[in-house]
Amino acid sequence: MKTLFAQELRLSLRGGGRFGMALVLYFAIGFLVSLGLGPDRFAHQLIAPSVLWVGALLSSLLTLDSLLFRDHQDGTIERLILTPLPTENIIMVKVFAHWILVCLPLCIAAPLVGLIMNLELKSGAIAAFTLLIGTPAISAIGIFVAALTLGMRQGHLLQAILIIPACIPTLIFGSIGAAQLMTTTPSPERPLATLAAISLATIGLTPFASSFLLHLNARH
Amino acid sequence: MKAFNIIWGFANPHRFITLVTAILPTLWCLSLLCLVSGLVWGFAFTPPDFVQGAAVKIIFLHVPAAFMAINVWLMMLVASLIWYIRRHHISALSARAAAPVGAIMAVIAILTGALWGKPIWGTWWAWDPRLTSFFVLLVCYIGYVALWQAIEEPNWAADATAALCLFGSLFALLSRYAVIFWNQGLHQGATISLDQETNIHNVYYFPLLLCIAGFAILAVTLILYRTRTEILKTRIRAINVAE
Repeated sequence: MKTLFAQELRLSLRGGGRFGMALVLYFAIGFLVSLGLGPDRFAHQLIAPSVLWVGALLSSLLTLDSLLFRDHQDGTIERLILTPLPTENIIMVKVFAHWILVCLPLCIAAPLVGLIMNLELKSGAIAAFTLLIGTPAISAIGIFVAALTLGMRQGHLLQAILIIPACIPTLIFGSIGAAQLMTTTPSPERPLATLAAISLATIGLTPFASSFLLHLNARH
Repeated sequence: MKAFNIIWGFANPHRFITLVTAILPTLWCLSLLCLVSGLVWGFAFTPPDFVQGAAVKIIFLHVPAAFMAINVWLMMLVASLIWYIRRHHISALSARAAAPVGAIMAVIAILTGALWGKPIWGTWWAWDPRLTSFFVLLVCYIGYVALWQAIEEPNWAADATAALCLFGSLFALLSRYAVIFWNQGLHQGATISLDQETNIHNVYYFPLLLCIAGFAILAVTLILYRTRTEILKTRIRAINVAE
Protein backbone atom coordinates (compact mmCIF):
# COMPACT_ATOMS: atom_id res chain seq x y z
CA MET A 1 0.00 0.00 0.00
CA LYS A 2 2.83 2.33 0.87
CA THR A 3 4.51 1.53 -2.42
CA LEU A 4 1.31 2.15 -4.29
CA PHE A 5 0.84 5.46 -2.53
CA ALA A 6 4.40 6.58 -3.27
CA GLN A 7 4.02 5.53 -6.88
CA GLU A 8 0.75 7.40 -7.19
CA LEU A 9 2.33 10.58 -5.84
CA ARG A 10 5.40 10.22 -8.03
CA LEU A 11 3.43 9.60 -11.21
CA SER A 12 1.22 12.60 -10.63
CA LEU A 13 4.10 14.91 -9.79
CA ARG A 14 6.15 13.86 -12.78
CA GLY A 15 3.13 13.92 -15.03
CA GLY A 16 3.01 17.63 -14.24
CA GLY A 17 -0.53 18.46 -15.17
CA ARG A 18 -3.11 18.06 -12.57
CA PHE A 19 -1.58 19.33 -9.39
CA GLY A 20 -0.35 22.57 -10.88
CA MET A 21 -3.39 23.06 -13.07
CA ALA A 22 -5.85 23.03 -10.15
CA LEU A 23 -3.83 25.64 -8.26
CA VAL A 24 -3.54 27.94 -11.24
CA LEU A 25 -7.23 27.63 -11.95
CA TYR A 26 -8.04 28.45 -8.32
CA PHE A 27 -6.05 31.67 -8.45
CA ALA A 28 -7.53 32.47 -11.86
CA ILE A 29 -11.06 32.09 -10.50
CA GLY A 30 -10.36 34.40 -7.55
CA PHE A 31 -8.66 36.92 -9.82
CA LEU A 32 -11.34 36.90 -12.53
CA VAL A 33 -14.23 37.14 -10.10
CA SER A 34 -12.70 40.13 -8.34
CA LEU A 35 -12.00 41.80 -11.67
CA GLY A 36 -15.54 41.12 -12.82
CA LEU A 37 -16.97 42.45 -9.59
CA GLY A 38 -15.38 45.89 -9.81
CA PRO A 39 -13.69 47.93 -7.10
CA ASP A 40 -16.34 47.60 -4.35
CA ARG A 41 -14.43 46.17 -1.35
CA PHE A 42 -17.55 45.41 0.63
CA ALA A 43 -19.06 43.31 -2.15
CA HIS A 44 -15.81 41.36 -2.36
CA GLN A 45 -15.87 40.48 1.29
CA LEU A 46 -19.52 39.53 1.09
CA ILE A 47 -19.08 36.91 -1.61
CA ALA A 48 -15.52 35.84 -0.79
CA PRO A 49 -16.41 32.69 1.24
CA SER A 50 -18.63 31.35 -1.52
CA VAL A 51 -16.09 32.20 -4.22
CA LEU A 52 -13.36 30.42 -2.26
CA TRP A 53 -15.56 27.36 -1.97
CA VAL A 54 -16.88 27.30 -5.53
CA GLY A 55 -13.37 27.89 -6.84
CA ALA A 56 -11.93 25.01 -4.82
CA LEU A 57 -14.76 22.76 -5.96
CA LEU A 58 -14.34 23.60 -9.64
CA SER A 59 -10.58 23.35 -9.71
CA SER A 60 -10.48 20.03 -7.90
CA LEU A 61 -13.24 18.64 -10.11
CA LEU A 62 -11.19 19.49 -13.15
CA THR A 63 -8.62 16.92 -12.07
CA LEU A 64 -11.10 14.09 -11.49
CA ASP A 65 -10.74 12.83 -14.95
CA SER A 66 -7.12 11.81 -14.46
CA LEU A 67 -7.98 9.97 -11.24
CA LEU A 68 -8.72 6.60 -12.82
CA PHE A 69 -8.78 7.40 -16.51
CA ARG A 70 -5.07 6.97 -17.22
CA ASP A 71 -4.86 3.76 -15.23
CA HIS A 72 -7.84 2.43 -17.09
CA GLN A 73 -6.38 3.27 -20.47
CA ASP A 74 -3.07 1.51 -19.96
CA GLY A 75 -4.65 -1.42 -18.14
CA THR A 76 -3.15 -0.73 -14.71
CA ILE A 77 -6.59 -0.94 -13.10
CA GLU A 78 -7.03 -4.59 -14.09
CA ARG A 79 -3.60 -5.44 -12.71
CA LEU A 80 -4.35 -3.62 -9.46
CA ILE A 81 -7.65 -5.45 -9.05
CA LEU A 82 -5.86 -8.77 -9.49
CA THR A 83 -3.32 -8.07 -6.76
CA PRO A 84 -3.99 -9.61 -3.34
CA LEU A 85 -4.56 -6.08 -1.99
CA PRO A 86 -8.29 -5.40 -1.47
CA THR A 87 -9.62 -3.04 -4.13
CA GLU A 88 -11.11 -0.88 -1.38
CA ASN A 89 -7.58 -0.16 -0.15
CA ILE A 90 -6.46 0.80 -3.62
CA ILE A 91 -9.37 3.23 -3.93
CA MET A 92 -8.54 4.62 -0.51
CA VAL A 93 -4.93 5.19 -1.55
CA LYS A 94 -6.06 6.96 -4.70
CA VAL A 95 -8.47 9.18 -2.80
CA PHE A 96 -5.79 10.08 -0.30
CA ALA A 97 -3.22 10.80 -3.00
CA HIS A 98 -5.71 12.99 -4.85
CA TRP A 99 -6.50 14.87 -1.69
CA ILE A 100 -2.83 15.43 -0.83
CA LEU A 101 -1.89 16.51 -4.33
CA VAL A 102 -4.89 18.58 -5.34
CA CYS A 103 -7.05 19.54 -2.39
CA LEU A 104 -4.41 20.24 0.24
CA PRO A 105 -2.58 22.80 -1.94
CA LEU A 106 -5.96 24.43 -2.60
CA CYS A 107 -6.61 24.68 1.16
CA ILE A 108 -3.19 26.24 1.67
CA ALA A 109 -3.74 28.64 -1.20
CA ALA A 110 -7.19 29.69 0.03
CA PRO A 111 -5.96 32.56 2.31
CA LEU A 112 -3.90 33.93 -0.59
CA VAL A 113 -6.85 33.81 -2.96
CA GLY A 114 -8.79 35.44 -0.13
CA LEU A 115 -6.26 38.29 -0.17
CA ILE A 116 -7.05 38.87 -3.84
CA MET A 117 -10.71 39.10 -2.81
CA ASN A 118 -9.94 41.72 -0.13
CA LEU A 119 -10.38 39.20 2.63
CA GLU A 120 -8.28 39.49 5.79
CA LEU A 121 -5.76 36.74 6.40
CA LYS A 122 -7.66 35.58 9.47
CA SER A 123 -10.90 35.12 7.53
CA GLY A 124 -8.92 33.44 4.77
CA ALA A 125 -7.52 31.00 7.31
CA ILE A 126 -11.08 30.27 8.46
CA ALA A 127 -12.10 29.50 4.90
CA ALA A 128 -9.05 27.27 4.56
CA PHE A 129 -10.10 25.45 7.73
CA THR A 130 -13.60 24.73 6.35
CA LEU A 131 -12.03 23.59 3.07
CA LEU A 132 -9.78 21.26 5.05
CA ILE A 133 -12.88 19.68 6.58
CA GLY A 134 -14.91 19.51 3.40
CA THR A 135 -12.51 18.66 0.57
CA PRO A 136 -12.09 14.96 1.49
CA ALA A 137 -15.73 14.58 0.53
CA ILE A 138 -14.99 16.08 -2.88
CA SER A 139 -12.15 13.63 -3.52
CA ALA A 140 -14.30 10.71 -2.38
CA ILE A 141 -17.35 11.71 -4.42
CA GLY A 142 -15.04 12.34 -7.34
CA ILE A 143 -13.59 8.87 -7.37
CA PHE A 144 -17.08 7.36 -7.14
CA VAL A 145 -18.23 9.31 -10.19
CA ALA A 146 -14.98 8.52 -12.02
CA ALA A 147 -15.46 4.80 -11.30
CA LEU A 148 -19.07 4.99 -12.42
CA THR A 149 -18.29 6.56 -15.78
CA LEU A 150 -15.06 4.69 -16.47
CA GLY A 151 -14.64 3.54 -20.03
CA MET A 152 -17.86 5.02 -21.35
CA ARG A 153 -18.27 6.86 -24.58
CA GLN A 154 -19.56 10.13 -23.16
CA GLY A 155 -17.75 9.70 -19.87
CA HIS A 156 -16.78 13.35 -19.49
CA LEU A 157 -20.25 14.70 -20.11
CA LEU A 158 -21.72 12.17 -17.69
CA GLN A 159 -19.20 13.12 -15.03
CA ALA A 160 -20.19 16.74 -15.36
CA ILE A 161 -23.91 15.91 -15.02
CA LEU A 162 -23.50 13.50 -12.12
CA ILE A 163 -21.10 15.56 -10.07
CA ILE A 164 -23.48 18.53 -9.74
CA PRO A 165 -26.10 16.97 -7.46
CA ALA A 166 -23.44 15.02 -5.57
CA CYS A 167 -21.49 18.12 -4.59
CA ILE A 168 -24.39 20.41 -3.65
CA PRO A 169 -24.61 19.46 0.06
CA THR A 170 -20.86 19.76 0.56
CA LEU A 171 -20.80 23.15 -1.11
CA ILE A 172 -23.76 24.49 0.83
CA PHE A 173 -22.56 23.41 4.24
CA GLY A 174 -19.00 24.48 3.46
CA SER A 175 -19.75 28.00 2.31
CA ILE A 176 -22.36 28.56 5.02
CA GLY A 177 -19.93 27.30 7.63
CA ALA A 178 -17.17 29.59 6.36
CA ALA A 179 -19.45 32.63 6.20
CA GLN A 180 -20.87 31.99 9.67
CA LEU A 181 -17.45 31.52 11.25
CA MET A 182 -16.24 34.79 9.74
CA THR A 183 -19.18 36.82 11.03
CA THR A 184 -19.39 35.08 14.43
CA THR A 185 -23.01 33.98 14.29
CA PRO A 186 -24.29 32.20 17.42
CA SER A 187 -23.82 28.55 16.47
CA PRO A 188 -21.32 28.11 13.62
CA GLU A 189 -20.52 24.55 14.61
CA ARG A 190 -23.72 23.05 13.21
CA PRO A 191 -22.97 23.35 9.48
CA LEU A 192 -19.33 22.48 10.15
CA ALA A 193 -20.25 19.35 12.08
CA THR A 194 -22.55 18.33 9.24
CA LEU A 195 -19.78 19.04 6.75
CA ALA A 196 -17.40 16.81 8.72
CA ALA A 197 -20.09 14.13 8.84
CA ILE A 198 -20.50 14.27 5.06
CA SER A 199 -16.73 13.98 4.60
CA LEU A 200 -16.42 11.02 6.94
CA ALA A 201 -19.47 9.24 5.53
CA THR A 202 -18.40 9.62 1.91
CA ILE A 203 -14.85 8.51 2.71
CA GLY A 204 -16.27 5.50 4.52
CA LEU A 205 -18.71 4.54 1.79
CA THR A 206 -17.03 5.34 -1.52
CA PRO A 207 -14.19 2.79 -1.33
CA PHE A 208 -16.79 0.01 -1.20
CA ALA A 209 -19.07 1.53 -3.82
CA SER A 210 -16.19 2.39 -6.16
CA SER A 211 -14.48 -0.97 -5.89
CA PHE A 212 -17.82 -2.63 -6.61
CA LEU A 213 -18.10 -0.48 -9.73
CA LEU A 214 -14.51 -1.19 -10.76
CA HIS A 215 -15.06 -4.94 -10.51
CA LEU A 216 -18.23 -4.53 -12.53
CA ASN A 217 -16.30 -2.54 -15.08
CA ALA A 218 -13.56 -5.15 -15.31
CA ARG A 219 -16.07 -7.96 -15.72
CA HIS A 220 -17.77 -6.42 -18.74
CA MET B 1 -44.86 -13.81 2.74
CA LYS B 2 -47.51 -15.47 0.63
CA ALA B 3 -48.33 -12.14 -1.05
CA PHE B 4 -44.65 -11.68 -1.90
CA ASN B 5 -44.53 -15.05 -3.58
CA ILE B 6 -47.39 -14.00 -5.82
CA ILE B 7 -45.53 -10.79 -6.74
CA TRP B 8 -42.31 -12.64 -7.58
CA GLY B 9 -44.32 -14.79 -9.95
CA PHE B 10 -44.62 -11.76 -12.21
CA ALA B 11 -40.85 -11.54 -12.48
CA ASN B 12 -41.41 -14.02 -15.28
CA PRO B 13 -41.47 -11.76 -18.37
CA HIS B 14 -44.15 -13.79 -20.08
CA ARG B 15 -46.55 -13.63 -17.15
CA PHE B 16 -45.74 -9.96 -16.68
CA ILE B 17 -46.54 -9.09 -20.29
CA THR B 18 -49.76 -11.10 -20.22
CA LEU B 19 -50.92 -9.33 -17.09
CA VAL B 20 -49.92 -5.87 -18.33
CA THR B 21 -51.57 -6.35 -21.69
CA ALA B 22 -54.75 -7.41 -19.94
CA ILE B 23 -54.99 -4.48 -17.53
CA LEU B 24 -53.51 -1.64 -19.61
CA PRO B 25 -56.79 -0.60 -21.36
CA THR B 26 -58.57 -0.35 -18.01
CA LEU B 27 -55.73 1.71 -16.57
CA TRP B 28 -55.69 4.10 -19.55
CA CYS B 29 -59.45 4.67 -19.21
CA LEU B 30 -59.26 5.09 -15.46
CA SER B 31 -56.45 7.67 -15.61
CA LEU B 32 -58.20 9.57 -18.39
CA LEU B 33 -61.43 9.59 -16.41
CA CYS B 34 -59.75 10.86 -13.22
CA LEU B 35 -57.64 13.45 -15.02
CA VAL B 36 -60.42 14.88 -17.17
CA SER B 37 -62.97 15.05 -14.39
CA GLY B 38 -60.43 16.33 -11.85
CA LEU B 39 -58.98 19.00 -14.11
CA VAL B 40 -62.33 20.19 -15.47
CA TRP B 41 -63.74 20.33 -11.96
CA GLY B 42 -60.64 22.10 -10.70
CA PHE B 43 -60.27 24.65 -13.49
CA ALA B 44 -63.90 25.42 -14.30
CA PHE B 45 -65.96 24.78 -11.20
CA THR B 46 -63.93 26.04 -8.24
CA PRO B 47 -64.11 29.63 -6.99
CA PRO B 48 -61.01 31.85 -7.23
CA ASP B 49 -59.00 32.13 -4.03
CA PHE B 50 -59.51 35.10 -1.69
CA VAL B 51 -55.84 36.14 -1.87
CA GLN B 52 -54.36 34.49 -4.94
CA GLY B 53 -57.27 34.81 -7.34
CA ALA B 54 -57.45 32.35 -10.20
CA ALA B 55 -53.70 31.62 -9.92
CA VAL B 56 -54.46 29.10 -7.18
CA LYS B 57 -55.89 26.72 -9.77
CA ILE B 58 -52.46 25.77 -11.02
CA ILE B 59 -52.31 23.63 -7.88
CA PHE B 60 -54.27 20.98 -9.78
CA LEU B 61 -51.26 20.40 -12.02
CA HIS B 62 -48.42 21.40 -9.72
CA VAL B 63 -49.07 19.26 -6.65
CA PRO B 64 -49.88 15.98 -8.45
CA ALA B 65 -46.82 16.33 -10.72
CA ALA B 66 -44.51 17.06 -7.80
CA PHE B 67 -46.00 14.19 -5.84
CA MET B 68 -45.42 11.77 -8.69
CA ALA B 69 -41.90 13.05 -9.43
CA ILE B 70 -40.86 12.04 -5.92
CA ASN B 71 -42.80 8.79 -5.87
CA VAL B 72 -41.47 7.61 -9.22
CA TRP B 73 -37.93 8.11 -7.89
CA LEU B 74 -38.84 6.08 -4.80
CA MET B 75 -40.21 3.37 -7.08
CA MET B 76 -36.92 3.39 -8.99
CA LEU B 77 -35.07 3.09 -5.70
CA VAL B 78 -37.11 0.03 -4.71
CA ALA B 79 -36.69 -1.46 -8.18
CA SER B 80 -32.91 -0.92 -8.02
CA LEU B 81 -32.75 -2.64 -4.64
CA ILE B 82 -34.76 -5.58 -5.96
CA TRP B 83 -32.40 -5.77 -8.94
CA TYR B 84 -29.40 -5.95 -6.61
CA ILE B 85 -30.95 -8.46 -4.27
CA ARG B 86 -32.92 -10.77 -6.55
CA ARG B 87 -31.57 -9.98 -10.05
CA HIS B 88 -34.97 -9.87 -11.72
CA HIS B 89 -34.49 -8.26 -15.11
CA ILE B 90 -37.97 -6.79 -15.09
CA SER B 91 -37.04 -4.83 -12.02
CA ALA B 92 -34.09 -3.16 -13.72
CA LEU B 93 -36.09 -2.59 -16.90
CA SER B 94 -38.98 -1.03 -15.01
CA ALA B 95 -36.59 1.39 -13.28
CA ARG B 96 -35.24 2.28 -16.70
CA ALA B 97 -38.75 2.73 -18.06
CA ALA B 98 -39.80 4.87 -15.12
CA ALA B 99 -36.97 7.41 -15.29
CA PRO B 100 -38.24 9.54 -18.22
CA VAL B 101 -41.75 9.52 -16.74
CA GLY B 102 -40.43 10.83 -13.46
CA ALA B 103 -38.24 13.38 -15.23
CA ILE B 104 -41.24 14.75 -17.14
CA MET B 105 -43.20 14.96 -13.88
CA ALA B 106 -40.36 16.91 -12.31
CA VAL B 107 -40.24 19.25 -15.30
CA ILE B 108 -44.01 19.81 -15.09
CA ALA B 109 -43.75 20.50 -11.38
CA ILE B 110 -40.90 22.99 -11.84
CA LEU B 111 -42.54 24.78 -14.80
CA THR B 112 -45.96 25.09 -13.18
CA GLY B 113 -44.21 26.16 -9.99
CA ALA B 114 -42.45 28.94 -11.90
CA LEU B 115 -45.72 30.04 -13.50
CA TRP B 116 -47.36 30.07 -10.09
CA GLY B 117 -44.44 31.77 -8.39
CA LYS B 118 -44.29 34.73 -10.78
CA PRO B 119 -47.65 36.33 -9.87
CA ILE B 120 -47.63 35.28 -6.19
CA TRP B 121 -44.00 35.57 -5.06
CA GLY B 122 -42.93 37.95 -7.80
CA THR B 123 -40.19 35.63 -9.04
CA TRP B 124 -39.89 32.63 -11.32
CA TRP B 125 -37.33 30.87 -9.21
CA ALA B 126 -35.81 31.08 -5.76
CA TRP B 127 -33.22 28.93 -4.01
CA ASP B 128 -35.73 27.70 -1.52
CA PRO B 129 -35.34 24.22 0.08
CA ARG B 130 -38.13 22.58 -1.87
CA LEU B 131 -37.18 24.18 -5.16
CA THR B 132 -33.53 23.29 -4.76
CA SER B 133 -34.24 19.69 -3.89
CA PHE B 134 -36.43 19.46 -6.96
CA PHE B 135 -33.64 20.84 -9.08
CA VAL B 136 -31.34 18.17 -7.65
CA LEU B 137 -33.98 15.53 -8.33
CA LEU B 138 -34.27 16.64 -11.95
CA VAL B 139 -30.49 16.53 -12.43
CA CYS B 140 -30.47 13.05 -10.89
CA TYR B 141 -33.12 11.94 -13.37
CA ILE B 142 -31.15 13.38 -16.28
CA GLY B 143 -27.94 11.73 -15.09
CA TYR B 144 -29.76 8.43 -14.65
CA VAL B 145 -31.19 8.47 -18.17
CA ALA B 146 -27.85 9.56 -19.61
CA LEU B 147 -26.08 6.70 -17.84
CA TRP B 148 -28.52 4.18 -19.28
CA GLN B 149 -27.89 5.62 -22.73
CA ALA B 150 -24.12 5.53 -22.34
CA ILE B 151 -23.70 1.82 -21.57
CA GLU B 152 -24.39 -0.74 -24.24
CA GLU B 153 -24.15 -3.90 -22.16
CA PRO B 154 -27.58 -4.25 -20.43
CA ASN B 155 -26.46 -5.94 -17.19
CA TRP B 156 -23.63 -3.51 -16.65
CA ALA B 157 -25.99 -0.61 -17.36
CA ALA B 158 -28.51 -1.97 -14.87
CA ASP B 159 -25.85 -2.35 -12.18
CA ALA B 160 -24.32 1.07 -12.72
CA THR B 161 -27.65 2.90 -12.83
CA ALA B 162 -28.85 1.08 -9.72
CA ALA B 163 -25.70 2.26 -7.93
CA LEU B 164 -26.38 5.78 -9.15
CA CYS B 165 -29.99 5.56 -7.98
CA LEU B 166 -28.98 4.55 -4.46
CA PHE B 167 -26.27 7.20 -4.25
CA GLY B 168 -28.46 9.84 -5.89
CA SER B 169 -31.25 9.27 -3.37
CA LEU B 170 -28.79 9.87 -0.58
CA PHE B 171 -27.66 13.16 -2.05
CA ALA B 172 -31.12 14.37 -3.04
CA LEU B 173 -32.20 13.82 0.56
CA LEU B 174 -29.08 15.46 1.91
CA SER B 175 -29.51 18.52 -0.33
CA ARG B 176 -33.04 18.87 0.93
CA TYR B 177 -31.82 19.16 4.50
CA ALA B 178 -28.79 21.23 3.51
CA VAL B 179 -30.79 24.07 2.01
CA ILE B 180 -33.06 24.27 5.05
CA PHE B 181 -30.04 25.98 6.63
CA TRP B 182 -30.65 28.98 4.41
CA ASN B 183 -33.85 29.67 6.35
CA GLN B 184 -35.56 31.52 3.57
CA GLY B 185 -38.35 29.24 2.50
CA LEU B 186 -40.71 30.95 0.09
CA HIS B 187 -42.55 27.74 -0.55
CA GLN B 188 -45.38 26.97 1.81
CA GLY B 189 -45.53 23.78 3.83
CA ALA B 190 -47.54 20.72 2.90
CA THR B 191 -51.14 21.55 2.04
CA ILE B 192 -52.31 17.98 2.22
CA SER B 193 -51.70 15.64 5.08
CA LEU B 194 -53.54 12.91 6.86
CA ASP B 195 -54.46 15.13 9.80
CA GLN B 196 -57.33 17.24 8.53
CA GLU B 197 -56.51 20.45 10.40
CA THR B 198 -53.79 21.73 8.09
CA ASN B 199 -55.58 20.81 4.89
CA ILE B 200 -56.76 23.30 2.31
CA HIS B 201 -60.44 24.01 1.94
CA ASN B 202 -62.66 21.18 0.76
CA VAL B 203 -63.62 23.15 -2.35
CA TYR B 204 -60.09 22.57 -3.65
CA TYR B 205 -59.36 19.40 -1.75
CA PHE B 206 -61.67 16.99 -3.58
CA PRO B 207 -60.76 17.94 -7.17
CA LEU B 208 -57.10 17.92 -6.09
CA LEU B 209 -57.42 14.38 -4.77
CA LEU B 210 -58.99 13.38 -8.08
CA CYS B 211 -56.10 14.98 -10.00
CA ILE B 212 -53.53 13.23 -7.81
CA ALA B 213 -55.26 9.92 -8.41
CA GLY B 214 -55.30 10.65 -12.15
CA PHE B 215 -51.59 11.50 -12.24
CA ALA B 216 -50.71 8.46 -10.14
CA ILE B 217 -52.67 6.06 -12.35
CA LEU B 218 -51.27 7.73 -15.45
CA ALA B 219 -47.70 7.31 -14.17
CA VAL B 220 -48.31 3.65 -13.31
CA THR B 221 -49.85 3.08 -16.73
CA LEU B 222 -46.97 4.74 -18.55
CA ILE B 223 -44.39 2.82 -16.53
CA LEU B 224 -46.09 -0.53 -17.18
CA TYR B 225 -46.44 0.32 -20.87
CA ARG B 226 -42.82 1.37 -21.17
CA THR B 227 -41.61 -1.67 -19.21
CA ARG B 228 -43.45 -3.91 -21.64
CA THR B 229 -41.76 -2.09 -24.51
CA GLU B 230 -38.36 -2.55 -22.86
CA ILE B 231 -38.96 -6.28 -22.45
CA LEU B 232 -39.95 -6.60 -26.09
CA LYS B 233 -36.86 -4.64 -27.12
CA THR B 234 -34.70 -7.02 -25.09
CA ARG B 235 -36.31 -9.95 -26.86
CA ILE B 236 -35.68 -8.41 -30.26
CA ARG B 237 -32.05 -7.89 -29.33
CA ALA B 238 -31.81 -11.51 -28.20
CA ILE B 239 -33.24 -12.68 -31.52
CA ASN B 240 -30.81 -10.52 -33.44
CA VAL B 241 -27.88 -11.90 -31.44
CA ALA B 242 -29.08 -15.47 -31.97
CA GLU B 243 -29.22 -14.99 -35.70
